Amino acid sequence: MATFATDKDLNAGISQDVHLGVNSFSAVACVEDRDISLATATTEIFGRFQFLKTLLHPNICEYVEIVKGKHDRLFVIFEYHMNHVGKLYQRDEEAEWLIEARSNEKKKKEINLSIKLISVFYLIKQTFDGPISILNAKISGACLPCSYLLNGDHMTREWAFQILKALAYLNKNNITHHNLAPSNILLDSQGKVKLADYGLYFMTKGGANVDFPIGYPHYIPPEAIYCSANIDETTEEAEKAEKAKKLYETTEKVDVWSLGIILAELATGSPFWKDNDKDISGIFSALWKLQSIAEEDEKEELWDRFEVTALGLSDPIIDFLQGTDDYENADLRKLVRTCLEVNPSNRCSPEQLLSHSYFSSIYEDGISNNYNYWCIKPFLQSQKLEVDDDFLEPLNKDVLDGMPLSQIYYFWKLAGGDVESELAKRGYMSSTPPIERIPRTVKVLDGKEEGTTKDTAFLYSDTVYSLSLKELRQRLKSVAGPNKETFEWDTDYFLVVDENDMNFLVDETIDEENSGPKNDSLEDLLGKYLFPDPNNNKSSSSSVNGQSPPPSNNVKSPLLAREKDVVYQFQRVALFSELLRQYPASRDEIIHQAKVDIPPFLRGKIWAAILGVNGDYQAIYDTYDKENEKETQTDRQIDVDVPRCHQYHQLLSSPVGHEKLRRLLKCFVSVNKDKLVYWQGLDSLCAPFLTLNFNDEALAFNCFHAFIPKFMKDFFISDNTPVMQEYLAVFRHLLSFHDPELSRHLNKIGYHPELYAVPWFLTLFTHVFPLDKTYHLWDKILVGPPSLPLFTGVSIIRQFRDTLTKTEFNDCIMVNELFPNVDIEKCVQSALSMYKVTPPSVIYRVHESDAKTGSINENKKHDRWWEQPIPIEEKKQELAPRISLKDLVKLKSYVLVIDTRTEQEFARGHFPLSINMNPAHLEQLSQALWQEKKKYHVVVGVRGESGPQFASDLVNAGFPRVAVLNGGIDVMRVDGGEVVVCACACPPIKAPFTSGAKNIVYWKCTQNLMN
Amino acid sequence: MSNPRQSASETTPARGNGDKPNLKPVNVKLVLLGEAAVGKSSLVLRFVNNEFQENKEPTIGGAFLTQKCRLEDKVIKFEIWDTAGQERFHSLAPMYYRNAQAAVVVYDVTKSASLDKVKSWVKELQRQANPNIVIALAGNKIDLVHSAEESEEDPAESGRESSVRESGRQVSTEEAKAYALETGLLFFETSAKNGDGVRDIFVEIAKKIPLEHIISRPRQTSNSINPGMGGTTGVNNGPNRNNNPSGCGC
Repeated sequence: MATFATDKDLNAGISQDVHLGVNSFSAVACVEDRDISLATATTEIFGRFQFLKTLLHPNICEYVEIVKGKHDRLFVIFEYHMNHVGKLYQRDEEAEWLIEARSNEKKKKEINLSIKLISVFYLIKQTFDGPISILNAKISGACLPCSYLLNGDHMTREWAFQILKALAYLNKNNITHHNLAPSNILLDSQGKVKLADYGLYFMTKGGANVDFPIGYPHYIPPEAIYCSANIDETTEEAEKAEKAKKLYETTEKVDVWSLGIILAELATGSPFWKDNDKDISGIFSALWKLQSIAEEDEKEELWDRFEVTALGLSDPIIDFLQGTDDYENADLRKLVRTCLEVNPSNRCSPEQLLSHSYFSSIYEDGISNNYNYWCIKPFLQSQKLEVDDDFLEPLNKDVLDGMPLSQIYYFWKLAGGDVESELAKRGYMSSTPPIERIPRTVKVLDGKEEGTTKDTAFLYSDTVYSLSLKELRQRLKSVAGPNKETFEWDTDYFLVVDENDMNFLVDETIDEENSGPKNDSLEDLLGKYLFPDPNNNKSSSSSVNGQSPPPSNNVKSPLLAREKDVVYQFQRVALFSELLRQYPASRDEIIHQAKVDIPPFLRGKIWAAILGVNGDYQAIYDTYDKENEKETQTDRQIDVDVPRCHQYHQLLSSPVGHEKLRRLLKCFVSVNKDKLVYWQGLDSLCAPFLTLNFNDEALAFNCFHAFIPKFMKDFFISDNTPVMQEYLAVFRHLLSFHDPELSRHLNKIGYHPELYAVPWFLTLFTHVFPLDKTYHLWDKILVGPPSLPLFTGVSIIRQFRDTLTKTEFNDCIMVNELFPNVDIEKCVQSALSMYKVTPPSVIYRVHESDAKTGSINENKKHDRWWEQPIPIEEKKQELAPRISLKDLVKLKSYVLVIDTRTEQEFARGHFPLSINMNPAHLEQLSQALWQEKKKYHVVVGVRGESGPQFASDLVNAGFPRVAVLNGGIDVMRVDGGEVVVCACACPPIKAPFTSGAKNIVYWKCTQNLMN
Repeated sequence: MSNPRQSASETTPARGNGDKPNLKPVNVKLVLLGEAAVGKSSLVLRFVNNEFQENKEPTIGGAFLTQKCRLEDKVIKFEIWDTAGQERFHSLAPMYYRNAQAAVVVYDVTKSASLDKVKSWVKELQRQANPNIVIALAGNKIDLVHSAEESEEDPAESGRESSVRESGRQVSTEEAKAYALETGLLFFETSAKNGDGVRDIFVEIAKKIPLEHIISRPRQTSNSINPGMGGTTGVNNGPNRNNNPSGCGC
């Protein structure tokens, strides 16, 4: 099964009608006791919200996203349905006559039923927004005929059952609604219950992060009043209140009380409390009294007592509760009375209520199991299977159908949607200057404020605004239609950068094409091997298998423009979703496609696929020890680092984010015990994975775990000095290899990699770039060879070349301040270009990851002197890298081999086409060397001789791509095994060169045995 | 020729264009050492940019900043090397403190363990660094102590440490002062957050540094940054080093 498909993806088909709603509120300006910390209430809410996104149940509305607007105002985007149970007794104009009728006391009982029926019918009419004929059609074909419509009881039962199921599901996820009211019991187009707003209490930490109370006064249980009351009489009372408070905050039974009231209202069609909207304090005191009545005598049934009639409950409710009306359904009455148990400890939980006798008929019918009242019989099992509708009828289908809501929202944003401005357009966000909002009068006694100007921009409103998807549908119409099937990404056009091919060989084949005199500058050469640059795909793509390039023109635009293009992203997301579904079989294809670009929406999962995370990673993660009891030095270090890690980021700065990052790091330490240890910087390194998989810690961890050995092998062993020193030495070699002039300058002023590049490589640039840039950089690094970071470092420093070559040390080192200006796309392209022209042996490292692309020693035994690893001190001193004979042979005619031995030795045998010169004559002969116009310069010497020093001199003289043949002439003397090199023994030609007064001689071999 | 009127107010840091043209700055290499999260980078940020950043990200390896500071007739340009606090990065430290003329060792007044770390740094500096190095001891985060006395709350630390004692001071002024006196260090208590005492550290260091010594030093004293780099030339502190006209300042 698809490894990276979450429940949400799999169930994407569930929501048939697409509506996104948004509502908005502000967190308290600052949480008490925390006024300095950045973790404001807003960030806390932000962090807690993330969990809500993972909830999925047929009877709850999905939470999609939370957005921070101006003044820290929060916007919550969620699945929305136009109808809700509250509409049953909504007093809008259409239903006006109902109220009139209801107010007619005399006829009350007679019309009670009809009110119900009409309300229900009214509701259904609303629910099916479409023409009435659809409704009729559905009814006539339904297994439950019209009588269903007339049977409000049945509907009440269904609803009650679905609400309880939703609540039970939420409870299982440790969430209590605390805000249940008819207005947030939404109904979808099938009349199915969809609870909304259930996350408000959770995300605001039980209301602690907001200034407004959570819960509708009409529906809150007695304990809510009891616990919020100010009790200072006796300690016993205070203790009790404390207990009640705890109960209120933690128990799921709060919602049961609210449900009881709602059900009573549904059954009677009357509001529970008299004077519904006016007297809220009356309700509070009634609840208070209720509590004391219940405590008086616990034996007598509360609702049968006389006292309850004096509490301000409306008459029909009293009648219903006491059974004095003609309502037939005793089971519902029983259920409501069970719900309305004053003592929360005795009240049932939603889970328990599901087995109430009231619902027995539901289990008998088995209807609720599929929530489809309208199904046509006979009902076949195969109908339960979800069919990809797009596949069957590609035309006339809503583009957004079956798409996960988060994805719809993502595209909506790309299509120009912005919740804040959307709401502002509707006049919701009008704000008054703060000075205007100061209350004019404050009554001290009861703390009431009067004369306050209410500012809608700062208040909570449960008004939900539906987001229009019209624009988005229009934009996507063109791509989602018939085109979709013909849409085919040309998969071969990136072949040149495939993992196995992206190496020195590629350079060779391409160089062959334009062999001959090489006059093109380095820059020109680089331009040819650009990374999967979509801009020059045409020539190479069509040449491979004749497939047409992608239909969208947007591929040509720069990465950032592509990421903002809704049509392009739609195609990419569709493609990758499909590939991810087929993962792991599709891994190669994913890597292939990822080389073009990675759609940000799926980045977390695509990265995981590239890194090869597979199997039940959650189970693996669960077995790891994340909270070791013992407080160690490492734990303390993690504790001080985590709250400082990328704190500009919304998720990482939230307490939930801190907790998760801490857990991931501790897990990393415990998993790699005895091998790797915690280094500062690992926190930064972990951050991209956590932010991309915030709700999937296990995935984040496994990505992190797979990433480190691949790109940063042994970087985090407890003494990483040899590893880092070697890495930095190779980095310096590379810089000299590709930009000798810059390298020389930096060397001269003492601007060594040790001083500036440690944070680069130890955190793979996460410490120097903000996360959004890191994502883009890593997108490429992940699909590149393990040594790509080295090249990236070189290309970064080369981006500041002009600044660097002109400045002295003090200004140079400030280059880190220029980092915000680094162009990642350009940087990666040039890194890859350099990679391709760099012989693998040049970047060989002893501490390299096992999956290496090339090494000097292949698999032979280390028995010859040049096969011993070069001592690190030596390696650090040398400016030029070593090259293997194998690589040298491949360089063929592009290399100038400079032999530094004596003339006599040279005459006895030498590398074909090499020249022989005295190292001391470099200054005089450099002109002649330049005239050779070779791309590569390889020095051949003998053991223990000054070959490396001469190579350094060449670098300092500005020669590009200088390397020393590893082993010098000795490697050619022995049987090179698979490497066949004939040492040339031709009589060399004397090539005199006149420089000033001196006549200096060098020797040249002209016999080409190579071809 | 010490000036009796000399005071901190005269020795304000001079930013770039404020220099008098005839004053060539004297470069002073200064290194910051201390345990992780005691506020080394924050002290530098306060001194250099007069800023404070809550939850400043940890320093990896090292970081470099410069700031000029006018002292009577001289301008001193501090080349400040800020280091990583984690013990693991210790092997990089010699590269930073080698040939430094000044060091600021920082501890956190609310964490007694951080003073122990300071002591080991001082020992190491006295053993291995430039023998004339001027060392200043800075007890940072005194703002937390103040706020703890007022409200018994410790906002910045609450997310950082679970220890209950965090809210209060753990290193008394007397204790640290005595240690500083005994070891011959300059001593300050600072708050990078509100700026208390930060400038004083650098001003006092500037005063105490034997400038003529630096000025007359031949080039070989320039910062050879990397002990392991072998034949490299090290940091060139600028061509002006040998012919600074400002002469003797103290």
